[in-house]
Amino acid sequence: MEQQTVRRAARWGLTPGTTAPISLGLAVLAAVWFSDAARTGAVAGALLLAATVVLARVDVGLARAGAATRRQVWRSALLRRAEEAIVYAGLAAGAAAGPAAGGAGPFAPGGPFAPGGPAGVWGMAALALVLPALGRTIAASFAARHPAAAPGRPAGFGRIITLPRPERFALVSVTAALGDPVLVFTVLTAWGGVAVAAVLAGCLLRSLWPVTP
Amino acid sequence: MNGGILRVYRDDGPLARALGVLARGGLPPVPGAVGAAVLTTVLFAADEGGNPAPALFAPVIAVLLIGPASAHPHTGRLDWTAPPMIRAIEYGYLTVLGFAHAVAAPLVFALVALLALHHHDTVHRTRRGPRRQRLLRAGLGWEGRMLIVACGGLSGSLPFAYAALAAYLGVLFGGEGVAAWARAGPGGRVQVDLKEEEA
Repeated sequence: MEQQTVRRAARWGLTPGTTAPISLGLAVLAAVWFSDAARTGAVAGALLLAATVVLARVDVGLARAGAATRRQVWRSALLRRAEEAIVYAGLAAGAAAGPAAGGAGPFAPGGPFAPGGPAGVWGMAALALVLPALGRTIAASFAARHPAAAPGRPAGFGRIITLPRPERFALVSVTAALGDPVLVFTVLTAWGGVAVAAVLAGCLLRSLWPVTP
Repeated sequence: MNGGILRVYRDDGPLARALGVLARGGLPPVPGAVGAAVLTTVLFAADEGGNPAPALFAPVIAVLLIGPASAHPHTGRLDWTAPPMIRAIEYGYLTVLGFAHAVAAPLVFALVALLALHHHDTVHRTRRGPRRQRLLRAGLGWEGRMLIVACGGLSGSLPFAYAALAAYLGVLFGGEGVAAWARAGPGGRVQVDLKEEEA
């Protein structure tokens, strides 16, 4: 199914150079819908977000097939980070503009991340953005120091814990469609915290007790 | 080996580099980074509406503790923890200070998002080779950005400092993005690292 989609995309003349800007455009549209803070907006945004996840898969498939230049890969990666920030900004703007969100989760009771608190939903959005960035820095720094011991591409349970970007966007899409932005960011920050802790623990263990082959 | 990459990941600015040259790479990076993280947290906790707020002096302490280790070869077993700690201090400082001092929330978010882009770019660019490190230096370094914000706070214009910094980084990235777009031509085919693309 995935192979077919990638082949069809290639036949349409799509390259990573074109999929990344299209994906960014979809993410911007999703953010605009999310900022509306209505149920229809949330569902439309979630669908657009799901489309960016599919496009990202196609993008990776095309790149693996050898259709990408070095610069395109770099630009796609950077545009995907920008997408994430834009979508979160749209969600936060929707929550800040919309009706006061009800008490939800650990962020509700008077804490600094409470919807009415000093940081509000924008603080949760910033935290949701920063946690994966920290996780990436930890993984990259560890890999630079101990290249042989660096963990490979996560699979199965590891993917569920570390929540890579496609899974993260899918989670945002589902929670945004079913709940409100506060729910999205509550789930994202909690899961992101666990993911960073897991990555950090794994890297610390590997550098303190290296497995010698 | 590979300590050089970690030193790029640190994203030190001119001041931290100068302190590192003074210390001649003799100081290990981890203790200073842990100390700076703890002291920054303590200064935020001690912030009870005093004027000037104690947290505004955290960047000075951080650069004095972390900067001298910038020339260290980073070859210790746990030295890879220094760049993530520096990142955590920078992100934490800029967000908590901004939200605590009522800087417009979208502005704080925008600055943090641009920083995340900058840091992602740092890692990606370094993996792809040493080209165009100039742009990374134009990012002012972690201590440069924290000090600019702190100076803005001391002079009573914190929102302006956030806006100026975000605008500067935004123009830096926008300009680079457009330039890369214009230059984008046929290049070498690459083996794509899926782990890196998806994280």
